[in-house]
Amino acid sequence: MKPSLSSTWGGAWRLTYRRLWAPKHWLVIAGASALLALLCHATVREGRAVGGHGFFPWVTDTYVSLLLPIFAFIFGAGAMRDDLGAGVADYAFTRPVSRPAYLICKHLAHLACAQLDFLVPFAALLAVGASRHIPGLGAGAPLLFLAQALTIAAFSAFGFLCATLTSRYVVIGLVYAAAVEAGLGNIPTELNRISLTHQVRGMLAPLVSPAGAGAQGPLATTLQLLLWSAAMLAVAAIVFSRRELAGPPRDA
Amino acid sequence: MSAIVEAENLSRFYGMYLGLNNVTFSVRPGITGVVGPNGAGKTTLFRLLTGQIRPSSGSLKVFGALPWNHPETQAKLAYCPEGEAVPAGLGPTDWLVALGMLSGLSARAARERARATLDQVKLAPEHWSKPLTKLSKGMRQRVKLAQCLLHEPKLVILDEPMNGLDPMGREDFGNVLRALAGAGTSILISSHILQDLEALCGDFLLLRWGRIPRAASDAVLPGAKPRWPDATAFRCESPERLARFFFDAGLVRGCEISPETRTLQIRWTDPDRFYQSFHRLLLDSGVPIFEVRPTASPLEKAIDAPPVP
Repeated sequence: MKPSLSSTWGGAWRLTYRRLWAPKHWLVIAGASALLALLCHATVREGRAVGGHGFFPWVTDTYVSLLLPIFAFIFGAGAMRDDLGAGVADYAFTRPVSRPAYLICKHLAHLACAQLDFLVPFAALLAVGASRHIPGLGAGAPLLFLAQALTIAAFSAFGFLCATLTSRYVVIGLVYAAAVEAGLGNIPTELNRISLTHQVRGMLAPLVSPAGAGAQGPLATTLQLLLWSAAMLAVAAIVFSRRELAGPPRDA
Repeated sequence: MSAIVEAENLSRFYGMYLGLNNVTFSVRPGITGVVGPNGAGKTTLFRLLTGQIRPSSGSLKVFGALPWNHPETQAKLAYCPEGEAVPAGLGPTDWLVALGMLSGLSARAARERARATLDQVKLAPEHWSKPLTKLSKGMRQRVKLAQCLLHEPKLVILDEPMNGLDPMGREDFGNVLRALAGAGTSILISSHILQDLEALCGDFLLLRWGRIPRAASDAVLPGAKPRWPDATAFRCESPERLARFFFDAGLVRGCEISPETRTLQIRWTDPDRFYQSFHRLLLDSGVPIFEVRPTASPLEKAIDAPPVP
């Protein structure tokens, strides 16, 4: 009896959300969101949307380009590493489930959970914006939300791939962040387009500067980031289907 | 009866580390015990059988196919690992439903099977929703066995499943396995509790240092299979009095007393004589006895035997 895609999804979803959404998890999310809101409140000036101490530049540079990618990567990689541990691998992957199908379902389940998780800090930031009377907050919120959703999708897929490759996924993440996001992404040439955060910043440019110089349309950015996510996931699925799931056991 | 598992010159190395070294064996339907000291290669064998790792060399067939990346073969197998790790945040029912769905059951069928298997392993319903991590070790072992039975596999592979179970729990567990075997499911089981294996298994596979020194039946039983252990340990109120009684009955070849643990170990001149009249002799001795256990079972002897060059 080989599981269908729907039963694989059902199994992966149940294994994912039940483990993620424990009460302790929500406490951590609430605490981190409160801290983020406090930081934003302390930095952003009243009624200022753009320029120095403006709300949208702060959200773009600090939240969307720095904190969100880091946490999305770590959560994605952590979820995959959890599944490679004995607590799941010995039970899940000794079943007739196709590994690529499982990995994709697992990623979708994790992504759904992560998108819902990050709604809390997003709402906290909007609340700060509202309390600071930021002009254009209502109009800018959908674009900010799209940027958040795409960043989570791209970096969690990258996290999945790195965690499938090695337990030292943080090293790969750091090298990538230094070389591509902080390095190439900031060089004013066409090469900086390979930086994911650069793409997202380009999409958010109309919010950050009134002229919206160098802006990239939301549709193009969405397509590029979704393509990137799909490519990362496809490579992860290929690697995962060839990967042995246990190192030397204690009782070899 | 045709073999369900066939291995020929099977080896598995982890770099310089030896897992299994050129073993050839077959497993017939029924309950087969996999015996060996720590590091013998039991877990490596189980991981090969369940398709988690690939052989380094040689061939392995489970129901006629290599299980590595082979869902059709994996659908006929179930595995209960030795490790204590279970997912946090999930209760037994939720966990089994998820695993049932990964085995190909619909959500509804998985829920029904989860309840049926938890019932089968005698886990009380009040524990079905508690987080797995909050259950006792014995209860977790039952849930781990239940997850094996979800998709009604043809071969169940159990790595030290009796760890953490009390004697009654082990008896229940053994009964579940016997019932499974009676219904046509084959079982491959490793355990350090050799008495339990001896009571359960019809065949044995003995591993040592990644090799099969010899078939367990050959190693253990040169000629007729001895029915009773050669030596027995008694934990009792007065080991000295009990020793004197057995000496007077002419049953003792040698004995040893541990006063701290109030334990008497006796090597019998004729084990048959003692075990045939077991109850009467112990009652006649008049010594309150707390525990009786064999100290050197045939399997233990096989494990301790010097390796074949």
